[in-house]
Amino acid sequence: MYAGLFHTAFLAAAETFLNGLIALDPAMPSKLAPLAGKTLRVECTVPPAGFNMLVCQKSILLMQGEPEAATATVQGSAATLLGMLAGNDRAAQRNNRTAISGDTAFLQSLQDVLANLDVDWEYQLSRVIGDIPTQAVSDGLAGTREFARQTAANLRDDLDAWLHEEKKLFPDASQLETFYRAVDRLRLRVDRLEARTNRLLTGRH
Amino acid sequence: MTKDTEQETTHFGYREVPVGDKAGLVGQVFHSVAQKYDLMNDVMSLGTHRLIKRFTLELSALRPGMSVLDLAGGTGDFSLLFSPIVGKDGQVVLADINESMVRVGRDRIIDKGLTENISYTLANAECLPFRENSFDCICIAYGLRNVTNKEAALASMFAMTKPGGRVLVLEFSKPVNPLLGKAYDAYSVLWPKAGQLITGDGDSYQYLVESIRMHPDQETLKQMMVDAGYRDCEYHNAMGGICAIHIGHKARA
Repeated sequence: MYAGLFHTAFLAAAETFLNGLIALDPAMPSKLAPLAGKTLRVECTVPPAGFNMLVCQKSILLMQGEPEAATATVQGSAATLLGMLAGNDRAAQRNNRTAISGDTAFLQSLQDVLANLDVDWEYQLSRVIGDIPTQAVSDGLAGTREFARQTAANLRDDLDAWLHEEKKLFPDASQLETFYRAVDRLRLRVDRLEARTNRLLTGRH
Repeated sequence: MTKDTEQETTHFGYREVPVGDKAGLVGQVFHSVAQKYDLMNDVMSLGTHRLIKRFTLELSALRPGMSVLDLAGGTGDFSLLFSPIVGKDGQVVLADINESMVRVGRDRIIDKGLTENISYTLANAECLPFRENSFDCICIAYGLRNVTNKEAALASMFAMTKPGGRVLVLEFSKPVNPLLGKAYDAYSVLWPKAGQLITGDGDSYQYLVESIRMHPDQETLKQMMVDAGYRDCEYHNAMGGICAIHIGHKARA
């Protein structure tokens, strides 16, 4: 139950990261408050480890602790649990990759809170560098994102044309269509030939 | 405690002093170092005291709504950790015999905006001024070795613990590996020099080094807790036994 200081150190680091994110969302205290005092026990099967997530008014504490204190318990591999806690993998629950016991409504609510973590990066940045530079950075980022999207699309088209038209490494769609039609025709002819052969053979007998 | 021909004496570091004088001498030590106490803890422990305190917190099994006594709470490290866990329905009492330390702790906690569930009191661990069976958990961290009469302190803590509650004693102890022990001894020789440099008071840290060596080892302290009435006593070594966290439970009525 108590794996020692290394486990404590790992949980402390994870908790600092998580609460750092939580602090960036001004709406989080009001979202966490209804869940305050409840504990989610997380039992990881691969690698084997377990810890409690205690929801407080403004933060979430990650601690080694006693499983009996938990409001709900969730069990699964590390990858499944991480995806699930981020709210990205509800399917994991349906696919029986996780085992859940206790107050599942609490687990669902906690998942929703964490999945809807809405960090206003522009506001956080504006506190450091000011409003006008933030707007410039934001516009710059939006422009860069659009340029990157456009460039990626162009590259994809160019690569496609180069491989199909210039290097002739792959057939294009019309060549494939012709090939498939030819294969279909051949299959039909073979079928007809087979039927005819069968008929001749049965006629002889 | 040893019997002198004239009067009872006890140890203050390596020195033998009259029993009545120890609390005052310890008081002077902590009064002197209160302002730089946290910084010195980081220097001496290389920051590991934070992890050890967190590990102790994990062993406390605190839940929302519980009441907890942070005895010898000093600059409030533990109260800050306890407060969000017990929540607004719980209660944290920071108690210390030293006014300077409580003042630093109280200011620090108020500055962090935690006022809802923490209260403060000056109290001697040997005769705690609370009703019996008041606390679900009592934690004394790096405090017991400074108490003149440790048996009386453990008995008083036992009386204040609710049936079914637990006491946690975090204290320097004896390293389990002799090599580690030698390295630790060599390192701790530097503390008075660091203390002189940072707080301008090397003597207080000389006392700290000596008091650590005079403190009972893991098994002795465990037996003292059993003698005080605690059940299912156990201890967890941290950093190879440089520190140990003892846990004792008070039987349910």
